[in-house]
Amino acid sequence: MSDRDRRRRYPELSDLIVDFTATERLPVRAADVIATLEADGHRRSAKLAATIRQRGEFFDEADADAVLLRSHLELQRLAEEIQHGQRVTRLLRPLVDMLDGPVTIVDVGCGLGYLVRWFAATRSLGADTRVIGVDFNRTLLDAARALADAEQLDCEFVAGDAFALDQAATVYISSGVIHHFTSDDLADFFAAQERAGASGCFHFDVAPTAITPFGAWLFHRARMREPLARHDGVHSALRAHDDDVLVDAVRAGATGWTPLLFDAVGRRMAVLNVMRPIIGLRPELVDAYERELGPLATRLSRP
Amino acid sequence: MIAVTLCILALADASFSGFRAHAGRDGRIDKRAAKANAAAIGAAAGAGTLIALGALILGSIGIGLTTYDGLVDAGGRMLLAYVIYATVVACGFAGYFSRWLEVRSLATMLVLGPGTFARPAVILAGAVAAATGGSASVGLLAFIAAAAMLLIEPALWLWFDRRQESTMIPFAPAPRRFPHRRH
Ligand SMILES: C[S@@+](CC[C@H](N)C(=O)[O-])C[C@H]1O[C@@H](n2cnc3c(N)ncnc32)[C@H](O)[C@@H]1O
Repeated sequence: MSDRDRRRRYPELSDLIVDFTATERLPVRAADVIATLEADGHRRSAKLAATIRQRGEFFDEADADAVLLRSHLELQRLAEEIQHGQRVTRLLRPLVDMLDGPVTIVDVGCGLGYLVRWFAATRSLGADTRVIGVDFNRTLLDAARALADAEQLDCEFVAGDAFALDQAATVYISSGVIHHFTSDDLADFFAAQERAGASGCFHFDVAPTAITPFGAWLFHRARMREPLARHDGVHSALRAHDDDVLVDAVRAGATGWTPLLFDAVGRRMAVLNVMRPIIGLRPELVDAYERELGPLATRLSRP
Repeated sequence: MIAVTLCILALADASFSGFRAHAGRDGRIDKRAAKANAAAIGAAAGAGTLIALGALILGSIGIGLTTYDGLVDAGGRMLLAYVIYATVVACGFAGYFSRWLEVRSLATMLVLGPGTFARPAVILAGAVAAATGGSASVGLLAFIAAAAMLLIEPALWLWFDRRQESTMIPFAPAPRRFPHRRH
């Protein structure tokens, strides 16, 4: 199935009910979204979209925002349960320790900034590491800032587009974002990061194993109650990119980086693999990183 | 003994319902106090439910609808179903507090998530077991008890969704006006 088919086959409502660009927010014509979903045969998705309040011909922004905020809070809950912070730290900290000078980690598509705030709260990447969240959804960013303020966390949130990053970083990371992009877009996504002068990237996303669709369905049922969060959670797992698509995109976009996989699909028990990263690193760092990883290096592969 | 064990399991289950109803409604990183509070609210809801069920059961004995022995027999069958489930979940928790991330992952993926998913079916299975071989009124009571346990969590959803106004909505800014493009 081509990317475009897959995206049409498994649409995510969170992509459709709001429209942010790097600089502005555009109103979304509700009837168009609903009609497109129906035309593509997504009766259930269309029905769900129709539950969002409308103001004139557009989705009511406050209502769409409230649904998205609740969904992202539930997403944070899943991240907490799978201990995503620790998962990212154990791969990122060895790299941070290797690099000289101040390190800045930028989380692209940070949403509510759970990971950024978790790093700030636990200082798991070292006290001097700056952590910044970037997202084009200003509503989520404002909520992320307010949550960080409430706990007096030392982190920043900046509005920006993943394809035109003007937030410089030593390492770019993301979680649950790259399945939103087609494989063609992915190359541009990696290119923007290499162009910005980063040493590498770690982008975590759902691993598309044989049991992923069922597991995603079960977990989103058991752990979420916002219908949109359940709907998108299942569709995002179905949209997840295969390892080779990610590797090819790094090669095509960030031509100066070496692609690496950790827990490549099929290499370990699928059940441990929920969120696995595609890694891109400057080639001169790869050997040292592997050494620094210690025992975990056995799970790293150079495709 | 059977009644006491069932009550303990019901209280534990209700406090987990409280925990789950709060989960995903509070965006802070450090939620230890809030989680403990949520579990306590769940346990309180469970205690209230148990008192109401206890009154109903005593009443049923009082008016001769059921007998003490009949209820104990049914309780024993119910307990069997729940003890098996509780043991599996307890093993899951032991795994979840392991120091190895992989073991913690396995516990979540194989036990805790599926455990929550299966919970309604398990609760109903307990009622079916209790009803099987008992009188019609015992069966009815068993299903009322199961339904009451199942309703605790959705009731607490409402509670925490309302409370969310204090834990989340201040963080959700008032709708902002962005420049609207005319089509
Ligand atoms: C599924 S959410 C994941 C959020 C967060 N990383 C997490 O793990 O909870 C995807 C996020 O990516 C953001 N996003 C999608 N496309 C983007 C783009 N082109 N630029 C910036 N952010 C983007 C969305 O606004 C959303 O917050």
